[in-house]
Amino acid sequence: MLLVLADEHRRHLSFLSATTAAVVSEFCRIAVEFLKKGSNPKIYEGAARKLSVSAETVQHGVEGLMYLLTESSKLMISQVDFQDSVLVLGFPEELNKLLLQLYLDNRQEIRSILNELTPDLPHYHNLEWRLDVQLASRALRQQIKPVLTLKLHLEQNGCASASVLQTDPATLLHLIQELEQALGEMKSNHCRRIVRNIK
Amino acid sequence: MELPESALAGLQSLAHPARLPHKTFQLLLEAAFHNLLHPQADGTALDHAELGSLDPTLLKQSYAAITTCILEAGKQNADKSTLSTLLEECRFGSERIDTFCTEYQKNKGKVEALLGSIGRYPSHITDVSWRLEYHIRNNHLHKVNQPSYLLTLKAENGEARSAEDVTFSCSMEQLQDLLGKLKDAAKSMEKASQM
Amino acid sequence: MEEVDRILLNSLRQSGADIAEDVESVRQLTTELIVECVVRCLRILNPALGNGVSHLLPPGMSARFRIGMCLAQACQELGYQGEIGYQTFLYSNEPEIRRLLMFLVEKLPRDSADTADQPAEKSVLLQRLIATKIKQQLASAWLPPALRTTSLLNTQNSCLMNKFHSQALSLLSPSAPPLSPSQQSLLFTELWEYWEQHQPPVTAQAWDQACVAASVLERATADLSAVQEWEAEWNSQGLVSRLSPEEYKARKRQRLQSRIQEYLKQSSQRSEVRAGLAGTPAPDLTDPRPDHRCLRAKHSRFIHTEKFTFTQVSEDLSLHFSHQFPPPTPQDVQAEQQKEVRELEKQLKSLGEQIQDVRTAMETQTLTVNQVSEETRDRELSAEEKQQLLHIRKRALDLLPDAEGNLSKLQAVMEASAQRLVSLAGQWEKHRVPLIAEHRRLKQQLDSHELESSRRLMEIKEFHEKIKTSAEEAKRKENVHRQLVLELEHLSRGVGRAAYTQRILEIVSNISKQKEEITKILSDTKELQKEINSLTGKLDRTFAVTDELLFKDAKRDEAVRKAYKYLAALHENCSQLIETIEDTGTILREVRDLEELIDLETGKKTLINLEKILEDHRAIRQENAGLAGRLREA
Repeated sequence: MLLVLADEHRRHLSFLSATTAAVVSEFCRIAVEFLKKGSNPKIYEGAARKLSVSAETVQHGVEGLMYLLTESSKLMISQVDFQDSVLVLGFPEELNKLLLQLYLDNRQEIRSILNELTPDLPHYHNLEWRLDVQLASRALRQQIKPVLTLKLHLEQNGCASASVLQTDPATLLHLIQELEQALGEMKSNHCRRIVRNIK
Repeated sequence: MELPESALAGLQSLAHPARLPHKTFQLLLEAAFHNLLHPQADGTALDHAELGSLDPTLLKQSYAAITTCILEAGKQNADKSTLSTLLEECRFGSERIDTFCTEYQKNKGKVEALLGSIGRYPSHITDVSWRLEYHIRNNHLHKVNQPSYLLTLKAENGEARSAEDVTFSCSMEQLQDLLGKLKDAAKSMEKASQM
Repeated sequence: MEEVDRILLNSLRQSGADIAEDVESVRQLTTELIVECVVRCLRILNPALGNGVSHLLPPGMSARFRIGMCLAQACQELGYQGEIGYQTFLYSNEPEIRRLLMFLVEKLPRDSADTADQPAEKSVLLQRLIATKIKQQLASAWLPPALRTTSLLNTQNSCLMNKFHSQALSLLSPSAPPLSPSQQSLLFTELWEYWEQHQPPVTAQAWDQACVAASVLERATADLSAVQEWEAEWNSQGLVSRLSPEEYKARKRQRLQSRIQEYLKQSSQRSEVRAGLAGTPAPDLTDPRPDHRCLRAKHSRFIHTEKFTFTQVSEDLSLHFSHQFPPPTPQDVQAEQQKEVRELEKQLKSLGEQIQDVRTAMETQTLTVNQVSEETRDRELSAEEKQQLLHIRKRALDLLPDAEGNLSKLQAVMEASAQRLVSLAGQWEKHRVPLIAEHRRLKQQLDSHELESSRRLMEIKEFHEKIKTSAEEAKRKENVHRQLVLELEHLSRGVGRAAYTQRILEIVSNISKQKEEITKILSDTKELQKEINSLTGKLDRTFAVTDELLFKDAKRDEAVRKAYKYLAALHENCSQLIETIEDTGTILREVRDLEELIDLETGKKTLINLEKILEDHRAIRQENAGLAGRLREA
């Protein structure tokens, strides 16, 4: 699958072909940095002064690179496809190699950053448990009631929440059995076939 | 086992064979157990023909006494000897003590269940349901291709019978972690059962 | 052997084997019973080994064979030295089985029964109970919530749970509230009427059926603790005050009432709004109901209770109102309420202003009033002084015309009064002395009474202590008694022990007797041997002497020669005879050995076992043939 670059995008990136490899690699470093930590407009001006071009051009160049990287990472395009897509830009061979290396080096990281943007359900974080035996209560002074108290830590969008639950031995065994089935389901033929086919 | 003055007085008024025939005593006893274990909201607790012939105040007093006695005995897990000592002190005859004790033994489990059901707990998990999903892509990321589970722990909490289910998603590794911890708990429970 | 068998069988029975009472020796055990006994023992010794094997012998021959092999292997693993195989169980012979059973029974944990009987420590007992409970719950099947029975609902759900919610119950109380007689009779008849006709039974009083049990329990506890609290207070403070309980209560009530009034006064002064509120419950609080005993204690507690009562009263009122009026539609109500609120606010504001005005006016007025009243008081005082002065002067002026006569008259009067004073003093002295004596006496009496009463008080206190300790003692002893009874019940099972020891002692004495006999026989034999030895020696010697003598003479005398020949023959014959006798002895011994062997062999039931084996062999063949046939069919 090829990446189709919009005209405007190409225009923004074409600035890079006019500069040296060192500058481009510096731009790449900045683009990756921005993807990780957020952008910092001050850097644009500094770079623009050094290169004696407008800050806007620098910004467009860096942002173009960022967009290129995120798009290709999002689609997870292969090495060959990436090369072919970049070819359209008409960069020198050296520059293309540099971009490819940049892409391959940072693909995983960018994907993990993108992954954080996905809609987040409350998800499992941790479980604490404790085995209790209730021996007496206000209305019944002698009793034996084994109970497993669970504290389930969940997380959603980075904020943790915990719910305290309890269960009895028989249900605990049932839960284990059910969850084992759930885990085993992933290894069943049906699921394997689906996983094989969706690639 | 200690009972308040009023309950003791009520029991003592039951002991007299002349004032209260044995049959009526038995009926009253059965009614007390029945009303405790199968409560009815209407006021028909003591609407029995045989009981109607009694003095209503006496009837109500001794009924309250029997009820108190049963509940206290259940609360303290009183055995037969304790119960019969108490009844002897209220001048019960051996026949009535026997009747009382057998009726008590017969219903002891239910009384305990009734008393045991008074209290508060965290929500109790009764079941779990799960759904396996295969996450393929989203608007930020393509080719994610990862399985994920959506679990619902069905929990309920006493008084309102409200379902307080807990729903959360987890990856395969997380589910393995959860399952491992639950198995650990089950193992320790088994260990506790082999002492 | 009988004794051994009996002990063996008894321990086997204890291990759980189902052996009939009339079986008295190992010989009577059938193959099934033997297998059962061995399996039971194995289960106790090594649960992992024993639980795999059924204690019932299956009908199929091959299965029987397998069980036999299993058991043999298990026994060998336990360290059984003797020869053992499937045949030991299936084609048993008495001595082998006895040896095997003895080996197993010896290995059985001997003190297991003892420890089970002993009343274990409480914590251990509790732990064991917990363990069984958990095991039971682990073993119980999980059911979907909709299918659960009530017993499962209690363990696997909490949906039957109710909060401990109690409410006040109206019970027929044996002691009527303390009131004046006229009030009492009136109130009592009405109360009685309520109890008789309108009071619902206890279980129907709660608004929610779920809190019946909680309410009844709570009422019982409250009654009990009220009595206990009163007793504790009476013992600590009431007795010292030397009042009767009723008086003590009355005084306490009075104190409380005054304190309540004081508090109400204070709070009403503190703020006008609060005064309005406090006014309503005042009559309620001054009514000394026994339930308000809790009011008496401390100030802080009192405040708390007061608040409680206020809220209760207002709640009651609101409840009352909501019952009386049919509820109008909500919008109307809201509009009306808002209008009313606005009006009331306006009123309130104007009233507040008025009050403020009036208050300032009042303050100035009171100030002036105070000033004026002080002034009047001063004036009145000065007027009085002046009036007295005027009076004295008027008397003096009256007496002035006849000064001489009046003076003497006055002197006479003075003298007379002085004399009267003296005589009165004498009289007073006369009266005073006995009175003082009386007073002293009474005072002494009072002191002694006080002493006596404090002594009595101490005694009473002591008695109270004694009663308490004796009650505790009685309770403790009762507990011990119960425990001992339980122990006794447990012990009654171990009656066989004494019999066993008796029997063992008998056996030991028997053995020692037998040992004595054996040693006697041994010594006899030794003596006999010695005698024989000496006799042979003597014989040899005599023979040698005779031989020599005869040999010497034999050369000379023919007769002697013959005699010598006879002697030699005699000697030879005799030695032959002895040899024969000895041979007979060994043969006899051999015969005895052989006979024993025969007995042993017959004891092994070889013939019967052989027949059994043949039969079983046939059965196995048949089974095999059947299986082969089925295989072919399949």
